[in-house]
Amino acid sequence: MYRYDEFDKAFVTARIAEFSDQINRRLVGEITEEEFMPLRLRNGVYLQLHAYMLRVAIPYGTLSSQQLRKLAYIARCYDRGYGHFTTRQNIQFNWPRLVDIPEILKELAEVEMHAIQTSGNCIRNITSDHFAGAAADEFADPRPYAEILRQWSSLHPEFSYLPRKFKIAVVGAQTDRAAIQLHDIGLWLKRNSSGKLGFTFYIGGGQGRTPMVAKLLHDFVLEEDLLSYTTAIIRIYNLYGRRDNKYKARIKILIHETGLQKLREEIEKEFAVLKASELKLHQSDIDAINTYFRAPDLTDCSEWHYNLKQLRLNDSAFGDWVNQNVTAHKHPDYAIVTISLKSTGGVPGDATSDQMDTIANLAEQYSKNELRVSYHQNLVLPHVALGDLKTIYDTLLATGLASANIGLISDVIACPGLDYCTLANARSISVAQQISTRFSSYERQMEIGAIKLNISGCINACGHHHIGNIGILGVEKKGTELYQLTLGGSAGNNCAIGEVTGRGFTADEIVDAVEVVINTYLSLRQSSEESFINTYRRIGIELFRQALYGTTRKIS
Amino acid sequence: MPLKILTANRLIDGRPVWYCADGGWSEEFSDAAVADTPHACTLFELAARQAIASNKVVDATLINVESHNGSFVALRLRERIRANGPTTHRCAENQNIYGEYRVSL
Amino acid sequence: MARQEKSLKSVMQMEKMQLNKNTKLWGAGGFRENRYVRSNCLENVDSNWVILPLTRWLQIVEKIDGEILRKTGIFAEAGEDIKPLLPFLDVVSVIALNFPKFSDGRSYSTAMQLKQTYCYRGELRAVGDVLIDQVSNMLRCGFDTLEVKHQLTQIRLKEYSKEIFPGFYQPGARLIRTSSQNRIWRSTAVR
Repeated sequence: MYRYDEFDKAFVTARIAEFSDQINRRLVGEITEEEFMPLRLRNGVYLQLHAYMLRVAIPYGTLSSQQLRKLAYIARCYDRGYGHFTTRQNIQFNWPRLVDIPEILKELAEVEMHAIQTSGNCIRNITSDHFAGAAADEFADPRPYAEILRQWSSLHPEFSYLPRKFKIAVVGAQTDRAAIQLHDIGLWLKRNSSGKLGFTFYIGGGQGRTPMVAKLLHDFVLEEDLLSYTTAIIRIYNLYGRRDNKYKARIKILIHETGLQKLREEIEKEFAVLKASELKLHQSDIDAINTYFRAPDLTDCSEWHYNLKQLRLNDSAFGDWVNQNVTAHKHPDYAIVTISLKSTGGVPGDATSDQMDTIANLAEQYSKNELRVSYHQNLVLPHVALGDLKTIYDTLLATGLASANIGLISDVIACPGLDYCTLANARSISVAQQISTRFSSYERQMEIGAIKLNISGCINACGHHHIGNIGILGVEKKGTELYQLTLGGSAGNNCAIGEVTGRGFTADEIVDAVEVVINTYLSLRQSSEESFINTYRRIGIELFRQALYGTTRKIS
Repeated sequence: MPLKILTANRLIDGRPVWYCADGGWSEEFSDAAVADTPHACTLFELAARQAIASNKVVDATLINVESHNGSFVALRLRERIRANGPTTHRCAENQNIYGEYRVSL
Repeated sequence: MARQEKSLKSVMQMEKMQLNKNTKLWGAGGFRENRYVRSNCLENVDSNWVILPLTRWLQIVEKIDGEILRKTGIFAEAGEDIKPLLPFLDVVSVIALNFPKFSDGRSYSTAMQLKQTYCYRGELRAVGDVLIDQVSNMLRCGFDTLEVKHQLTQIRLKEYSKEIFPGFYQPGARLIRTSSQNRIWRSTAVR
């Protein structure tokens, strides 16, 4: 993974000094809250219901064990002993004091972390595939390019005051595990027929008030043009994106209102003059970054396969965990482990300081010191020898982190919702807790099979409910919480926005409604091999609607 | 007119605070002063401006409360959660914001 | 630090008492005289040096004397299309780009287009809601001068002798790429 050099360290230190000065000026009233707010947002500091919230950047979801230990320490000393991993691969602390932020940032800088541009109308954290550099289906590791984009976007003088936030995701495997088509710019790293590396550019994806799947802008942009092409797009957006209405200010609206072809022409014109500029990536630039992402040394050990098979036979719970939480690695004697942060009745994506320390130790010992954060709000150990799986499982079991539910219904993705967030209209965590409790039985979850359930506490869709196979959107109606149900959404290669079933459900009804949907699926699927989303695609929404709102159902 | 109290977030740590009869700001919802006339609301607004100008608080707003069983509760769920903290617990059953979180004034 | 805070506070109070019409022009080397006057037309203006709105300027550019043209600058609104200016860039002495609100970042892109793409060599001036926390961005996008209304920004600019960052991750005005293998640009200005 990337390591800071002297310049990077000096840069972050300067940024901390700059922001600390801005905080001091705010505290003495030299700047108003109106002037301060965009500045603090660009340093990841939100004001929420109960306190400030600090969103720390985890670049493209990659963490070292040392960094995770520092996050645990910060949670312990400056917060309430826990942190929340988000749908953009970042971590949030919910209780820091503004006056402590400079100290917290210094602690983070010690392990090469920061909170730069995790909020505000600027380019946000570049996200990527949480299995990058390890997955068996990878063409090329997207993370060096994510790092190039990260550096280039940091304190960008032209793009610090965009019409709205700007989110970029990049993948490099057959499967899109970063939902690139739901980003302002989605990049798919691939090789053309001559074997040259380049990117397919998608633009204008996004959720929120007007969810849209991204459009194909350019089929293949050469590696060297990554920054100049991206600059052309964002420059056009900066100039022409709407600034009159915050809900119509993303690039997806600009495309919708101007038309993709017209915008493409403008972008190409801009790109034509930028192509030969200093933004061009030289091979030496790419080589320099690539050195940080060399594959780790992995020893062969084919015996592990047999041992693992025996262990799975002897311990069915361990076997279940391997089935659900362990994924194939490009090296046959290794695996990728996903650690579920979705315990029964727990808060999705939360980890206590103790849990973070435990996981950091596992990463150090068994995963080449490396971790990932997935946008599903779980943690990943990317390089685990098959021979170490049992030891890891035993440790996780002892610390309550062994839920074998990755990709199952209790692997709920949920935003913090009204329990924490000023933007929210309804609680999302409470619904997630009830769902994971209702569906806690492993047998039941296995019967249901692969399914994505997402919950957002407001229309801003931070829980990505639009792309949930089952999506739940919390709204406020007549002072009480109401939950809208959507079905059929999906991210990845077959991206789709979910469809609303009909009228919403109260907090007391929503979990029952989910159960009705699940039972309907179970009764209508062709076989246990047909997943929820495939059944939905085959039969459509009507039968689900009938089951939910049919005349036999009492409406309270 | 609906009963109102004045709330804000403290600048230094973002904690929710409520304006009290003695002119101070408390971390306890139950200490909040209640405005029941337009004049009282005007005084509240003045107090809000002063507190903002002196960099004590941000986001000061008047919120509606109602009387219930001899105490006051915020009308909006959001404000009840602000007063009581996150409703998330280990046990999923403790979600009832009505039963669990009535606050008295 | 406490003494500095106190004196800033008393300046703030003084500012609130005065009617603040005190706009200053700042650039490399510090504050300087602003000889330009903003106007909608050249007639009846109490100065030889006038900044006209872009559309007006385009209407008269081919009608007026070269000597007068040299003293006539251009004002463009945020997001206003500057491409009609391109054939005339060699004869323009000053272009003022507006920041209606500091959070409106359109003029940064216009500045980059003028300076980096189209190699405009005249003076590029930032006007409008110009505040100290955006000065670095403005300079790197190619603004040569800043018209500053905000008193506290004026005070801070007096001490603005050195960029606090060791360098940047993007190319920009008055920056050159370092010899490091990483993509870093540093200021060419003598410190």
